Amino acid sequence: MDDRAKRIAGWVALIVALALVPLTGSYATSLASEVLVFAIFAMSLDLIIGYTGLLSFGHAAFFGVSAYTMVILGVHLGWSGWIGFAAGIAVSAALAAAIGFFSIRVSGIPFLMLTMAFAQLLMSVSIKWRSVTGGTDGLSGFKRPTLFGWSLDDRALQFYVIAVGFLLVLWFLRRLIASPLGSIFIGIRENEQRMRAAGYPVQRFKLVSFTIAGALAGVGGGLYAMLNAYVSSDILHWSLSGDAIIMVILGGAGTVIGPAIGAAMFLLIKNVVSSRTDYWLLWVGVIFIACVMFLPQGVWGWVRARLKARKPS
Amino acid sequence: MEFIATQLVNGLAYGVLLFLMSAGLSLIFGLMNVVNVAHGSFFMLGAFFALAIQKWTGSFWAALALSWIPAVAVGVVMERVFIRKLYTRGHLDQVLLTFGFTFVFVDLVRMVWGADIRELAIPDVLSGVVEVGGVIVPKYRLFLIAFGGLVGLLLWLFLERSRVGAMVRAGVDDAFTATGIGINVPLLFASVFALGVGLAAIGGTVAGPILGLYPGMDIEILIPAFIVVVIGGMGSLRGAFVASVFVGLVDTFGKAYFPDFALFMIYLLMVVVLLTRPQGLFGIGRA
Repeated sequence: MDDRAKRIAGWVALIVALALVPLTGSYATSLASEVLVFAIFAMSLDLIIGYTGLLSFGHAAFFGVSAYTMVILGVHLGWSGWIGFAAGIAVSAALAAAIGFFSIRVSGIPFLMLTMAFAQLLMSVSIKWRSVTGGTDGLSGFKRPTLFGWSLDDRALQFYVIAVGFLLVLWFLRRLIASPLGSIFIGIRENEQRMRAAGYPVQRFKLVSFTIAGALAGVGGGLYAMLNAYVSSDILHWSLSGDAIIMVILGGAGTVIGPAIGAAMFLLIKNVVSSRTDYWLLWVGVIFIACVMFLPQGVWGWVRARLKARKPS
Repeated sequence: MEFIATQLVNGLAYGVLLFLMSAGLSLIFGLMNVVNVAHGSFFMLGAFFALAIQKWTGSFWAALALSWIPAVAVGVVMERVFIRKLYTRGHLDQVLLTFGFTFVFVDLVRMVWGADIRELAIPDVLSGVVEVGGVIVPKYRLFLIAFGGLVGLLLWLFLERSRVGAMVRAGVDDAFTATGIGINVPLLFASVFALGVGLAAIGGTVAGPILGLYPGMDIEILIPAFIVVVIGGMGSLRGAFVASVFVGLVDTFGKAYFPDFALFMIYLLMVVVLLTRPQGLFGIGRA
């Protein structure tokens, strides 16, 4: 099989697998929906961490703001979820451009702290601005939109909408990474000074990467709102940004699909272990430490390296 | 006036806790280029070890004198077994590794001591209040401020006046050259890491009576401590000291005067400092 045929086979297998998920029952379908939502979130973060080489600790801001935008527009103004979805993505992208504009002036730990601070500031807003956001109680009463007359209250339909979103983001990221723009991001990660010396406006490209990642996180946030029909300030908390980092590293930073696999691993560990013990975070920590020490390229990175090594070239 | 004086005392006491945390964070970064996200965990471990020692001996002073020892033991094992393997990798991996440890430590504490808020009892000598110039202040907070000043002074004397301190400064400036002139840099690394962990554990112990003990107190202090280090400048002890007092006061006065925006104040402070001086107030501009 040549590469093209392999790629098409891969897509077909993925689409068929996703199409069959709702047959597995409502619990598994809900879990799969959640996995895909967080997979989108983690894949978007990987664009900054894995491809541009910047550790952001405030990515929840863009996920959360999009979800809030959609639910607020729906609950207070009665706007359709679809329009809210588009508005949410737009707000996330604009916010990412604004936060990125300030944050990329520094790098390393100060970058990590600044991105976290901006996200925490937003969380403070969501807690204090009770009349709009519902404060710590969160905001419920969001009516899921309909699709061709069918309501998204249906679990299977929810899943299919989310799966389509996931496939689109996956496709987009693969194209982006393979494009000249993707090569510039990777160049910045590998050697920022050389890129600068070669005449690339590095800061501008970092901002582009940050903004695209924010918009994609907004896609994840919007789908989260469709899934749960509820938002609270938890989805702006730094710990959600931390969870996303764990997903990226477990699955494989600097690979497109890796963070999605990491998201699946994280949520499976969470669901399986937390049903047996209260201390599931301990196991997340241990697995994460082992991964950083012994498998720095992540699970998918490792598998991919194995596959490449086997292929005679 | 009295209100301001009370807030001043509270702010300085909080600043002392931040200094005990950020001094170690900053030294470890300056010398080893290691970012220890698990530093707050040692603050928490110190506090809970102190609780156990106080329960066992009945004395706060015994707890203060001993609680750092088991915490340092844990820290040294972590440095020797895990962090050392990552010296050659970038900051990112150290942040991630130590971030993983925060999950492990917080759940271990929850397993052993439970999730409820515990309190470390203040010794009789320090309970109650005194009147200073017409203002009533809790004795314990005054003790905390004096204690912090003493630790800061000792640390300064150690770094500026002792032979080992000179080696540490040499290592901070240029670890490679320091090795070249015969300084045992790996040993120095381990020692400074242990020193930082010990300071954090002592910080947790003295924080016990005013902040309370609970799983999650690690992150509660870690975030402001990181803000202090970033504002003061990574690797600068003087920066850590000045920024600790500054952040402690801004946070306390912010909470008193603008309770609605309490959370905003120190984040805002950091954003402003970083945007005008990315390397921090006293930074060496290497981060």
